[in-house]
Amino acid sequence: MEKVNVNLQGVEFESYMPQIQTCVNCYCGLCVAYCPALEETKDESLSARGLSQIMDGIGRGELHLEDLPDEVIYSCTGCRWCEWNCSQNTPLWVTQQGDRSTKVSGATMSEIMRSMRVEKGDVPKAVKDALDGIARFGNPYGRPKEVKDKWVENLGCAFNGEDTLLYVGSMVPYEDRSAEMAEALIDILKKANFPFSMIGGNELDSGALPRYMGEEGLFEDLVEKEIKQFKEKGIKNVVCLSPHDYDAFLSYYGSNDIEFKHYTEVLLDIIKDKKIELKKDINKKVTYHDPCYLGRKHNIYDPPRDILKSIPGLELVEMDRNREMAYCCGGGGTGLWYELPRVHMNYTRVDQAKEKAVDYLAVACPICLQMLDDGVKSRDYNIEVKDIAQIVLEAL
Amino acid sequence: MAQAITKEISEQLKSQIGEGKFSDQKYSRITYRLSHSPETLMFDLDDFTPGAVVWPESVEDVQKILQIANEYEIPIDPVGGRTSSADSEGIKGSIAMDFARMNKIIELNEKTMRFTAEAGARVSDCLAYVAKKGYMILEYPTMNKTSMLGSRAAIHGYNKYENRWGSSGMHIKGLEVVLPTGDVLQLGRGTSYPTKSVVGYNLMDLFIGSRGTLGVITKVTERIIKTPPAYHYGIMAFKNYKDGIEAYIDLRNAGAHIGPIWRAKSYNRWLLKQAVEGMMGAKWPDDVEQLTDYHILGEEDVVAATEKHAIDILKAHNGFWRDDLPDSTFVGRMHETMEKYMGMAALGSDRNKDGGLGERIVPYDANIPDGNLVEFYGEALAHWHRMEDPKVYPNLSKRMRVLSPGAPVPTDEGHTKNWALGLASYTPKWNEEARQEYYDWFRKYAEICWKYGGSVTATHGYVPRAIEIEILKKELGDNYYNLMRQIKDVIDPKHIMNPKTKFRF
Repeated sequence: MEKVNVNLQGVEFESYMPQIQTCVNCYCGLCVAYCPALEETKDESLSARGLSQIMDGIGRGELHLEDLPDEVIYSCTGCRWCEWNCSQNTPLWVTQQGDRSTKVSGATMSEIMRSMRVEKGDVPKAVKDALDGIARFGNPYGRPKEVKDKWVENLGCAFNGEDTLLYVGSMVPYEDRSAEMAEALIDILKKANFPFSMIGGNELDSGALPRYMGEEGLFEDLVEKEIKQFKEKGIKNVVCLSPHDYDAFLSYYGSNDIEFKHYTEVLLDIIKDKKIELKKDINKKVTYHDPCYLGRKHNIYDPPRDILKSIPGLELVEMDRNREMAYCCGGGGTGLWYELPRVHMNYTRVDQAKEKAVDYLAVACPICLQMLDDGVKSRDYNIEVKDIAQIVLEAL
Repeated sequence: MAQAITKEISEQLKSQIGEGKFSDQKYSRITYRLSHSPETLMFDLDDFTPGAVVWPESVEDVQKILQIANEYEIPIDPVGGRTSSADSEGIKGSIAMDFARMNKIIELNEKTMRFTAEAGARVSDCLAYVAKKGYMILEYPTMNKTSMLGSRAAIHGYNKYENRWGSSGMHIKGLEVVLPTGDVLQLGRGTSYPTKSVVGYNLMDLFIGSRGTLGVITKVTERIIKTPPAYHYGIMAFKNYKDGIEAYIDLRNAGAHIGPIWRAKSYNRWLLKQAVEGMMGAKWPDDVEQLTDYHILGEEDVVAATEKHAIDILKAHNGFWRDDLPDSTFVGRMHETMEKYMGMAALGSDRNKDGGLGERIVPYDANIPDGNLVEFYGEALAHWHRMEDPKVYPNLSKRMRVLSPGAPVPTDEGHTKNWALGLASYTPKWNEEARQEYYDWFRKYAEICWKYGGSVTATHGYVPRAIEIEILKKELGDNYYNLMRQIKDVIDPKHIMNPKTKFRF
């Protein structure tokens, strides 16, 4: 067996092999069905079933990391379809057994291989740059913390001792579309007199991004640092802009003495409590794209839809692939940073939206926002990709 | 003698079909070597590793691949969903032909009530497509999210609607097949083709169930029906398997004349007990041994009347449902999605050595006529357990065990699929002694099946490869086998088409 020094959440590589053997033996193929990496390429090597064979091959010493092209290692976006649909990993089982890292999915196998690449110091440049930025500055763009400090200060949201923190994640404010999404949410929260503050440049990446990139150590380091400073600042509630941060905190820390929420849950409460009034008609046909880490991972399907339904004039229609069956935007894993020639999930997803002749494609995740916006522009579709917060703000 | 895929042959394939449709990379070949079949547990994995993988995108691609393979005598392994327990494993040195890119839905014709798609169309996609227009195809395998329409025809699989509608072949109205020479055949029956010809043979049925041994199916036409407006699911528990099975038989016979019962099944408690206790943390009552359930589809008033009739039948055989049984909708859902339920049962089984790791479920179906079922069951049960006896099988007993002590699942035209779920293990590594003991066990199992009018080559149809011809000859007779062999020799004289099964030189 190839000497592999990989440790995911305290679990050694060898510990995964029996579970990989189960995948090899099971062979029911449910993990293959509707895997977006497979849908894009029709190449089973990129799906969970194929990856289990490949991992088994590595374990047997038949295959080596050098034999595998980037496409095999970096196509999986961690969309969790295979995990959700797995015959041995039913939702019931996942609920009872907890964290996904104790089970094997396409995502965990990809992360193991990515960890092996990190270990060998052989990482695609785009991924390396993002990792370096996170390691040095806490954000994938390698921008200094002062930028975020100033942005938060200008918004008047600097930390003021409130025990509710708005956590906007490491893309904000460095990436324009994510920043606009966050600003829309902040505007709504202020109008609703929702008590919160932010920690500016002290806010680091939650660890979600490096984890997908194979830097498990950095994930643990970052999430520990974040939790530590939340506690030191007396934070009791964290409202996450991104489902990925929400997932990273919950999967690592749980919800012991800090309650983590995705912003759509908070926004729905604000609307239900009539803290804001949705006055303007939005006479648009809208479809909602379920982010993988909100939907399949955390079963949050209805709050975003309920928000959209509460907007006067708005017609909400579903894409054929919705809720548990939702197609990935392609930005998970390393998708946002590292484009692979055969994998264009964002194009496929906007094609699915186009089939419904919508005006707006609504999202609830900064990664989905970027990927689908890019998709719409590449396809030259007359669809606006907007975050739910932006649509709500439009209706105020 | 098959030739290795040389660089020259690889280049020829790439130039003919395009570089992006071919791979001889090791990781690709390893990806396509395994299947659900237990065969791969017993031998070295290298024996199943193809020499190359191709992804044809058109019938013209398939023709070109077959012509090259035929010229150089390279085995062809048509790949579908690979969830079949028989014959779906890879072939050493072959060209594995993945049909995932030939997945276009071609037509739904409401006048002829026919649906046509390319062979690689996923069954679940086909079901969803016709459902949107208010129709159903009758192709509904358990693994419908993975299975491809072409491979359903190739294996002549069984369906959820089997009681009423039969197996795959009964729904197929047309096939497009590419022969090893590259010639394309259009085969069919029904609206577009003669139902019965007095001047020729039924060639389409020759290819249905042929498992890629004669040609490659590239297009399938199936019949459709209007989606029935009403559906009801029912289930009852029984304190002994005899009551449960007899209830099933009456239910099925009633369905045969009153019509709208689309499927009834009877399950031994083992699977549900595993699922419920292992996964839900609930207790399965010790006195419940058998479950019988049914699906009724049809017009609303007919479904309502049939439901009442079905309940009367089950109650007449002491059927019941109690508060200490799990929610019947949960049970029903598990029945609907057998795949999850089998996986859960396997994983949660106290029969597993390593918590379900490193082992594979091996289904043994006997296809016994219902009338012989009870007698068969007693004898087969003892034999199933014999594989675990170290005095009888010192090597086999270390590698296989009976996961389920037999779960009679009556289906299909009065024959019963009897599930004994064996567990085959990777470890310890299989040796020749273990294989020989397994063949001995299987031969005796086949004798028991035949004694009660059953078949070991139907439904799941797994027969160990090494004794497949011997078993086929015994079950079908020498003349039958020899005629099949002659047909094979005429259509595929170089034996390149899926040569691992049935017709080896």
